[in-house]
Amino acid sequence: MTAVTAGVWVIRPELGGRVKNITRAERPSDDYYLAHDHGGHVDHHVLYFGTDPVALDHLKRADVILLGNSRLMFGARPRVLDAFFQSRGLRYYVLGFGFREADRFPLAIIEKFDLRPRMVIVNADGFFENSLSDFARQVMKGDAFGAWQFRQEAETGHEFRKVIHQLVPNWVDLLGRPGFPWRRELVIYRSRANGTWQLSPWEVGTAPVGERDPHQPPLGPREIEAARRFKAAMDGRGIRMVLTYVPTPRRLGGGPALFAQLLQVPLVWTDPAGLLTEDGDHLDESSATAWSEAFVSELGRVLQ
Amino acid sequence: MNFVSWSFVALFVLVFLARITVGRRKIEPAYVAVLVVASTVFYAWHIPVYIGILLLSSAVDYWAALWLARIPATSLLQRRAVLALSLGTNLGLLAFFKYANFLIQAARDVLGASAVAALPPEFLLALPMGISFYTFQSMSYTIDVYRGVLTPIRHFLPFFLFISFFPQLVAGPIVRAVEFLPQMPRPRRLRLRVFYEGTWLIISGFFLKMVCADNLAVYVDEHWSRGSNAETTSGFALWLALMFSGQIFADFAGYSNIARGTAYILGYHLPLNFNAPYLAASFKNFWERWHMTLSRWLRDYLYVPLGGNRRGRVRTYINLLLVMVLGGLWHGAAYTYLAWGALHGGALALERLLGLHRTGGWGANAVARVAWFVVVQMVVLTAWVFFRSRTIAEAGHFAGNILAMDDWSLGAMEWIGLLFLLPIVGLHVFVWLRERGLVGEPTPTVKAVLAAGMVYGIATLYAGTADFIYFQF
Repeated sequence: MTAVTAGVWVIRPELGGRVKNITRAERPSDDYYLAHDHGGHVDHHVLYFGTDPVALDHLKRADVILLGNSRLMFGARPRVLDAFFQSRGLRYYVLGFGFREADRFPLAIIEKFDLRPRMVIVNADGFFENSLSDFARQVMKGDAFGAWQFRQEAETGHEFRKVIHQLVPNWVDLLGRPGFPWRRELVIYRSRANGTWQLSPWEVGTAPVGERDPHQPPLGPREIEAARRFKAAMDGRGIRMVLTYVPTPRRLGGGPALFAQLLQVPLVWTDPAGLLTEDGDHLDESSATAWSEAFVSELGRVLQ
Repeated sequence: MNFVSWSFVALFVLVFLARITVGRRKIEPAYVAVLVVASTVFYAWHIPVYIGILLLSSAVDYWAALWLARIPATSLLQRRAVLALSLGTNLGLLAFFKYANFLIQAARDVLGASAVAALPPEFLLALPMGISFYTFQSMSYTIDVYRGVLTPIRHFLPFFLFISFFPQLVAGPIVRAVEFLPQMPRPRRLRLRVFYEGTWLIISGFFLKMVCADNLAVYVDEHWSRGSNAETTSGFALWLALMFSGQIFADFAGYSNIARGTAYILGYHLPLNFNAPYLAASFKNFWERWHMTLSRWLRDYLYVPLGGNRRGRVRTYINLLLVMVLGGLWHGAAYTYLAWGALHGGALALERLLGLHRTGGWGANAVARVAWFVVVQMVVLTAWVFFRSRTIAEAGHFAGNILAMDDWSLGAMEWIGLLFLLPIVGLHVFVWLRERGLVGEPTPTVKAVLAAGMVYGIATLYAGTADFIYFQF
C-alpha cells in the first residue's frame, strides 16, 4: 500500500501535500473537542445531549449566545470575540451548526437546557426557516447514550485516520467527487469554552465575497412567520435579540435589514472590503478575522 | 452495534481472544457465557432497554417449546393454543413496533379529518434493532417443535445464544434452530483454514459495504429525489435505479459476509444469504439467490402451510402473491414495501402461469429464457424503485421517467459513480463462470492477493460509516 502511494506521490508530488491534510490536523488545545470529520458533525450530538459537561456549563453561563449556520461558525473568531466580550465583563458562546442548520435545532437546545442569556445574536442568513436539517432530526431521535457512542466512534476514527493516511490517501477525499464539490476533507474542532470552530488546516481563500444589499431579497411569508415565532420565543424568555450577517456569495433567505425592520431589532451590518471565501461559500481565516473585528466594532456601537 | 464501528472491532477482538483461550473447543461453558454476554452487549449498544424485548421473545418461545414437548400429540387444541401464544407474542411485538403508526395513518386516510381527534397519536418509539429477524428466528424454533421435527432445548442460556448470537442478530442470515442448535454441543477447533476463510469473508464483506455500498449511497441519497422530477432524463433515472440496486445488494450481502465470517471464526457455520442475485433468469431463481434465508423461511413457514402449490393453480397464484406481499410488509409499514412485494408476487404468479419457472416447456426455449431474463431484471429494478421511494406516486413518476426513453446520455459524475458498481459486476461475472464450470474456486494465493487489494480499497476508498440499510428492518 505504502509503495503504491509513494509511487503516485513521486509522479504527482502535489497530491502528496494535499493528502496530508488529515495527518496535519491539529487540535488547537485541550479545550477543543472534535466537531467534524468523516461521518458527520459530532457537535450536534454533544450540544443537544449535553454530553460534554464543560461545554454545557459554558453554554449555560453565557450572557450572549450567537446563533447561525456554518458561515457564522467560520466567521466568528475567538481571539477577537474574547477580547471584546471580556472587556465588557460578558461571557459569550457561539451556538451555530453545520448542515445549513436553521432555527429549530438551536431553539430546541435553548428550551431543553432552559437557557436564558441576556442576548442572542442571530446570523440572519437562512436562519428563519422553522426547519430542521435531516441530520438534526436524526440526532434528536436518538439518546444521550447514542450521542456518547457517536462521539467516541468519531474521535477514535479521527485518530486512526491521522495515522493510516500517513501511509495511504483516501482517494475520494484527495481527488474529489465530480458533482460533489463540498465533499472534501474537512476537519473541525470546537471550543468547549466559547463554542467557536477551528478548522485544521484552513485553506487560504481565493473567491471574493462580492457586493451585498441588506434589503434584498424580499422576505417570503414562511420566513416572516418563522422570524416572528422565533422572536416571540426569545421574548418569552426575556432575551434581547440582535441580528447580524456573515458575508457569503451564496446567501440564503431574505435580506437581513428586512428581518431587522420586521422584528424591530438592531442589525449589526458590517462590510469590510476584500473578503475572500475558502470554498466559494465560507470565509477564509484572515477574512473571518477581519469580519469579526468589524462585527465587534459595530456591535459595540449597537450595545451603547 | 454496527459492524462498521470501532466498538465492534473491540468487541470482536475480545471474543476472539476468548475463542483462542477459554474456548478452544468452542463448547466450554466459559466461552458460551462470553458469547452470550457479547451478544447482549452488542444488542444493548443500540438502546439498552430493548434487551428486554429480546429476552421476552426468547423466554416465551423457550417456555412454549418446553410446554409443547409435554403435551401429547393427541391434544391438538392445547398444542395450538401454546403455539398461538408464541406466535401471538412475536407477531404482536412486530405489529406494535412496526405497524401501529402505519395503521393509525391508514385509518386517518380512510376515515378523514373528522376521525383524527378520536384516533390515538403516533407512537414515537424507535424500532428495536433486528426485531424482524430475531422474531422470525424465534418463531421458527417453536413451529419446528410443534411440528415434531425438533426436540426443545432444556437450558435457557444456549437457547438465548441461538436467538441472540451477535454476528447474525440484527440482519440475519435468519438461521433455523435445526441448523444452529446441533452445532452447539459439537467441538470445533479453530484451524488455520477456518481462520483464513472467515477472514476472507469478513474482508470481502467490509469491502462491499464500505467501498461499494457507502460510495453508491452518496450518489443515491443526494440525487434520489431528482429521479421523479418531470425534467429528469431516462438515462439519469435509470442510472439512479442501477446505483440503488447495487447499493442495496452490496450493503446487505456485505453485512451477510461479515456475519458469516465472524461466526465461522467463532465456531459457527451460518447459511449463505446471497448468491449473485442479478444473474437470476427467473423470479423463482431470484428468490433462490436474494436474501435466501428469508425466502426459505417464507416458503417453509408461510407458503407451504397456506397450501403451497398443492391446492390447484389459482390457489398457488394467490399463495405466491400473498406470501410476497407479506414479505414486502415484513420490511416495514409502507405502501411502497407493499407495492414491492406485490410486484414480485405478481411476477412469480405470472411466471408460473407461463411455465417459465422450470426448464421444461417455454422454459426450455433459449430465446424465451434470454427474453425472460431481461424481463426479470427489469421488474426487479422497477421493484427497487418502489422499495427506495417515499411514496407510490414518487415511484410511479420515477419509473415513468425511465420508460419515457428520451435521453440516455450520462455526465462525468454518473460515469464515475458507476465505477463503484464494477466490483459487484465482477462478482456476478465470476459466479456466472463458476456455475458453468469455466472457473474454479480461487486458490488461497489468489484469495490472499484479492484480500490485500480489498484491504487497500477499504483504507483508501471508504466513504463514511452509514448504517446498514437492513438495520432499520
